[in-house]
Amino acid sequence: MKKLLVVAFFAVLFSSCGPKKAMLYNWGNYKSTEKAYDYEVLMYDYYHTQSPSSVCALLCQYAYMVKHPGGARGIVPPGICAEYGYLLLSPDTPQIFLDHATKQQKEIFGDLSDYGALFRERGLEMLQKEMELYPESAVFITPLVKKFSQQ
Amino acid sequence: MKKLFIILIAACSLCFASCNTMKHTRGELYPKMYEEKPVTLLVMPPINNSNNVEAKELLYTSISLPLAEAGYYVISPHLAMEIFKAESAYDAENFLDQSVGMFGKVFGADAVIFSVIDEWKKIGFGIQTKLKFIIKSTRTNEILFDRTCDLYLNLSDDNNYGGGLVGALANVAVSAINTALTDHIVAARMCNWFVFEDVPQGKYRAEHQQDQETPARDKNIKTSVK
Repeated sequence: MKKLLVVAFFAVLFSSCGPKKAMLYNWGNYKSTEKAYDYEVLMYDYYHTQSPSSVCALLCQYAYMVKHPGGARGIVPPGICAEYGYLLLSPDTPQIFLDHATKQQKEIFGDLSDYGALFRERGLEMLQKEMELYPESAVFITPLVKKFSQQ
Repeated sequence: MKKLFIILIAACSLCFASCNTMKHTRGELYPKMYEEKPVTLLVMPPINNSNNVEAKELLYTSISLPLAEAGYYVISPHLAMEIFKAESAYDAENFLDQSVGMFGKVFGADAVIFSVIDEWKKIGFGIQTKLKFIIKSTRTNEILFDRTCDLYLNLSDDNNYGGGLVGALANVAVSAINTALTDHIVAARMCNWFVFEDVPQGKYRAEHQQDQETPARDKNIKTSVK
């Protein structure tokens, strides 16, 4: 009885002190070794190293996040479709992916001998999707769509 | 049974003592956030006054997640950086005291976020960071939100951390300390979560425009966490 009283007391006490908000979005799996979400880890790695393997890993992470939106809003987080589209449309990305992606990573996009056409199509699609999900992004995404459509 | 009551009363006092550090409300501290209701935020590259060259990108890449989770549309820092470079607008210090209206036109941002790193170094068994954050309106150039964070991330081994968000963040940090770089990444993430913990919630949170009475910590945070 005493134990029950203590447990109940602390449960009520701490639930009132620290309101825990549900995550709005899915940022990937929580990595216990890094104590961060996959997206944070991979984005920092890409930003820090700019290595071919970081490009491939980040592309696959974006693909996962677009395919598995979650959190309280159940949609892709702000900026993700834009970043994904931009990376797909960057001139070097198809070749980097072809040369450096693992077999498992390639399965996500299909085992192709040239990713140029696919990445271009999907990249433009992602930029459009960003504007659909977040109309406020149109101011800076529209010029990007125009730029990449002309290339 | 008497002992039990004494323990419960002591625990209760401790808890309320820690809750009392929240002496303000979001509405009192950041009234202009409620007036202007910014939706789209642009993160400027951090201004680095410290000797740690990596601090800038550590902070820059970890700033958007807590703000997106607070309900804002945060323009991708990665994409923004590409445009900053193209427009030679990489040095945020050039815009800190100037009009930021151009960022409203180019990016559609309602407000821009400046971060200033005044200190970022290893001291003893931890990392000392001293940061300043400012959210400035692109419409009025007024400061909507400002906060300083003087945070010491203690990396020593004992587990004597506190409760609430500090405790939760400490849990995030504890045992994540594998490499020197990881230490700094954890410090950057903790600073961002601390600073934006009390930011009025944005359009995509249910509490948007309804959290004026929510308790908030002082504008200037000074803390040591594990």
